[in-house]
Amino acid sequence: MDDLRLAVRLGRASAAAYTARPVLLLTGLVGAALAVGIEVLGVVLLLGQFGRLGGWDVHEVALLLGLVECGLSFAVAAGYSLETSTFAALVTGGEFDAVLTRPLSPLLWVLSRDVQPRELGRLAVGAATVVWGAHGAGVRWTPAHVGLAVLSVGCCATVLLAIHILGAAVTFRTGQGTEFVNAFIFGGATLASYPLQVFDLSLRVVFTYLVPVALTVYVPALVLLDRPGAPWAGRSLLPLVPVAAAGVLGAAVFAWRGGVNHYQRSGG
Amino acid sequence: MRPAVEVRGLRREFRQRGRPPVVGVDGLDFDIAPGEFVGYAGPNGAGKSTTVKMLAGILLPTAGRVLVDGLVPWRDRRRLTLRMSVVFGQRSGLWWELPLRESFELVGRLYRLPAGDAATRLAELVDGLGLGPLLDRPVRVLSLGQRMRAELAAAVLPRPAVLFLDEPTIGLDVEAKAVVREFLRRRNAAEGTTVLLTTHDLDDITALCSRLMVIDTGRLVYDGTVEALRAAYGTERVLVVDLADTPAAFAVPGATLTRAEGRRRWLSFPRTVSAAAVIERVLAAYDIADLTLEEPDLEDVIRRIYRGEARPERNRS
Repeated sequence: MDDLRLAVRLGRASAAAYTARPVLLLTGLVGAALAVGIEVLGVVLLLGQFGRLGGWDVHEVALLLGLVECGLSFAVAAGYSLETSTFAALVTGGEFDAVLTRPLSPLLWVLSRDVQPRELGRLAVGAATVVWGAHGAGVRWTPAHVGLAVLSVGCCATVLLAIHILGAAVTFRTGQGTEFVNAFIFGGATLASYPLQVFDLSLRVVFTYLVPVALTVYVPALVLLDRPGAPWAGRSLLPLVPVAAAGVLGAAVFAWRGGVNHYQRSGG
Repeated sequence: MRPAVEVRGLRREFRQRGRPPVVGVDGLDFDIAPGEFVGYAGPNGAGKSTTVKMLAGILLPTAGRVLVDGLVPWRDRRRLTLRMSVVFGQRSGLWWELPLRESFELVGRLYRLPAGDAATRLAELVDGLGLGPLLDRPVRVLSLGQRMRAELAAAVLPRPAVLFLDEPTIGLDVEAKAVVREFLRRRNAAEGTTVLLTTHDLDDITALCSRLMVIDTGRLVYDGTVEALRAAYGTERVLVVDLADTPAAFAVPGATLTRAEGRRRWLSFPRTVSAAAVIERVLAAYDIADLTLEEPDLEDVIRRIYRGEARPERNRS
């Protein structure tokens, strides 16, 4: 717990350092906001043409998309140092040696080294999309609903960050970043932005049970929208959402530790 | 008294696919007493960094025993990090984007230093290293010399019992090297910090270290004082004589004339001959303007050890 508090303090400091470079920060914020904005616009225009997707209207899909983008913003902001090529350079260049001499968990140290404030741009547009979608879909916000949305974003961020960590754990062994990770993070995020029932059963099962990005967004959204959901991914799975997120994070941390052990055994 | 660093039979092999393993470190045995300042020299690839990595808990040994401040580095790595600092010459432990002042504040928190204590100590270190004017600059804009001074301040801020320095003066200019050396000398004297200094720079060693360990192909080939190394394996000492006028011939019993240039003469004599005796003979026979005594060049001695021309026995005199 002490470690976590320290890491939050270090992470805050590294994010705040960007305020000393306002142009970089501002272009980053606007860039991230625009990227999400264009994606939302694309979905809105597309559904404007087709009307509904798997029975969901444009507002309901926007709610999903917004929740995913919020989760992604936290995962990318925190996991920036684990980004494939950055982390591979840290391991192969020997910089990780210095990490192991610090009185903080190596994972928290690496995560807190570079926290990206530009992801606030993504978060802002994501949150606005959630509000717009929920309003259009007639969601009446009760404290329980707000709690559910927060839970969804938190769990989605946790799963996406865990994929980042798993990728880093592999990098300890291969010395190279793997695009596999980005496929799961951004592929998973894109997939989770649409109603699960439009996908093939196998894809649905993978992103619900194996890499539960979709589970963390789709199932809470079902409750928010008062919808029954798809076979194999109904509302009854709600209690599973935090459990699955914690489980995936636990597995990732376990794999990370194995990676660190491998680094210490092999000499980087 | 328990040694600050205790190493027994330390060995590290690196496995290679399809080839026999490479031995990085091959059976090291040594102790470092608390407060000792030890130089660790050796050619590239001799096993210096591998040793330091094992002492710091970064790398697991293939065999052997290590205790640093009473802890097994790889088993008690986290606990050891609070009692040991490592400075890697070419890697930064500071926050690239943050002003130096804030970097130091974070180091204080990281090592759980009481805020008041950290501030007092930091003021002292900033003063000693001349870092005052740099405190508001982010680390990324500092020159290498400035950054290294900052790294050292951060490394000693938590009062480590043991300090491992890996090439801390590499790439620094003469002035920066002098500041770094003076700082390290004072810390070691004032706080009794045990220091293991890995370096290629023999001036670092002669300026700072009471003891030198030389490693070559993974084995210690010398462990003793700098003076003893010079005495045992040094080339001869040289007396440089500036004559008041040019004599027809110049010869001094017990010494060999190795070079002559204008009125300057270079006399070489073995360490068994007293310098005082040679000087006395020169003064008795010639009119002298000036005299300089040159000690054997340590670099030359170590180069000879690397080349295998001198293979000293292990010696801890």
